[in-house]
Amino acid sequence: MGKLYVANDLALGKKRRIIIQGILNNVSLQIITVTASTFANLIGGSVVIESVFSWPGIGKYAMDSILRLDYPVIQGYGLLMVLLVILINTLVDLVYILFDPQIMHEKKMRRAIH
Amino acid sequence: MKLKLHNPNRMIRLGCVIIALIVFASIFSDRLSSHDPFIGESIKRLLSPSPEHLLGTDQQGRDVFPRVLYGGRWTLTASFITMVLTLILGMLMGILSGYFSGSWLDILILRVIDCLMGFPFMILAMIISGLFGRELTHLLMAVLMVKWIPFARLTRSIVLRSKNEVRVLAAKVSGCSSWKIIIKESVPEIWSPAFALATFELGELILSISALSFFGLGAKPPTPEWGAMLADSKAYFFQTPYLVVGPSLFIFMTVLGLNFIGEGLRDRLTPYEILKI
Repeated sequence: MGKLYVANDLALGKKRRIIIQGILNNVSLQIITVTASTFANLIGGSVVIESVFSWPGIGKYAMDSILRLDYPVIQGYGLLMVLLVILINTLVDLVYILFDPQIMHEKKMRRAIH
Repeated sequence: MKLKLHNPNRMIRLGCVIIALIVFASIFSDRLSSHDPFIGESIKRLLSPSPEHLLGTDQQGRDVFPRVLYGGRWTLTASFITMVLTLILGMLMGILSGYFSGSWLDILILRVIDCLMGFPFMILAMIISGLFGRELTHLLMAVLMVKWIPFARLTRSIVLRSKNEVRVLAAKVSGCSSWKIIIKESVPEIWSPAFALATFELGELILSISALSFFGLGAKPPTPEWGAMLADSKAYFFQTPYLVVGPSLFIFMTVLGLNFIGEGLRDRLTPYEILKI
């Protein structure tokens, strides 16, 4: 809220909706980045929450198998979660291109240089 | 409505006071309460809070208040030591990666960061604790594996930005060795933002350690750790709900104090983002 474009809009007396749209314009990319990294935390959290509430999900299954030292399940769960996180990060990368067309040009340029 | 608390200096001071109180209470826990945190009398099980037993007694007759004070020791020392080591490792990796950017070392570190970036710490900690046992060294290993990455990324971006500054170029031109440049020019700049990040990470680490103990994968049973106390009180939640108050209050206050310090530091470090209209 301290950036110059916000102060500019406020000084010009623009409506609240337009100010917020301007803010969203600049912040959207960071929001997407944070979403991707929050996803990993949520996966870790789901294990805890599913165990506490005894919801029959993968998190609870993984927790029970860790406590019982069920090795194949531990390995499989670790692999699955890492794959999921990588998938989400890749999707976020692709969504970046939608939001910031400049990035696709940068990537093409970099590929051309190499 | 502008809260007076948003003044960053006040936030830092308040956070420091809270953390100092909790650390003080943990260190002097035996003086602050006359009851023993380990030995419980069966006749005093599940008593409600009274002037003699502030916060009540748990299911084995132990007074909760000295347990909570004593339990801070394990959590706070474990998380503090691991965070310091993680900070050093992350800063080292970030400096190496930023200073020698473009070289194979930087590319290697970046790929490692890409691989490990999204890995959920809780799952790794639980797997390591479950497989190798509940020792402090195993927890340290789990933390060091994953938690250095935010520090490395922050440090790398700061080093990259400051590499083109006049003083660094001047030091290079005058023939300074790389390590001297790093230590004298880069580290003072890196230190403050990394410390602000470290306070947030420390709060998260305390929560994670408590969650691990909640599932029996952290501290061993007689040790009064906050998460373990929460797990014990869960069974008796409907009879004696006040048992939950003690450990949760301390976890909450610790993380709150750390977050205050971190936010105050961050506000002070980026002054142009606070615009008073």
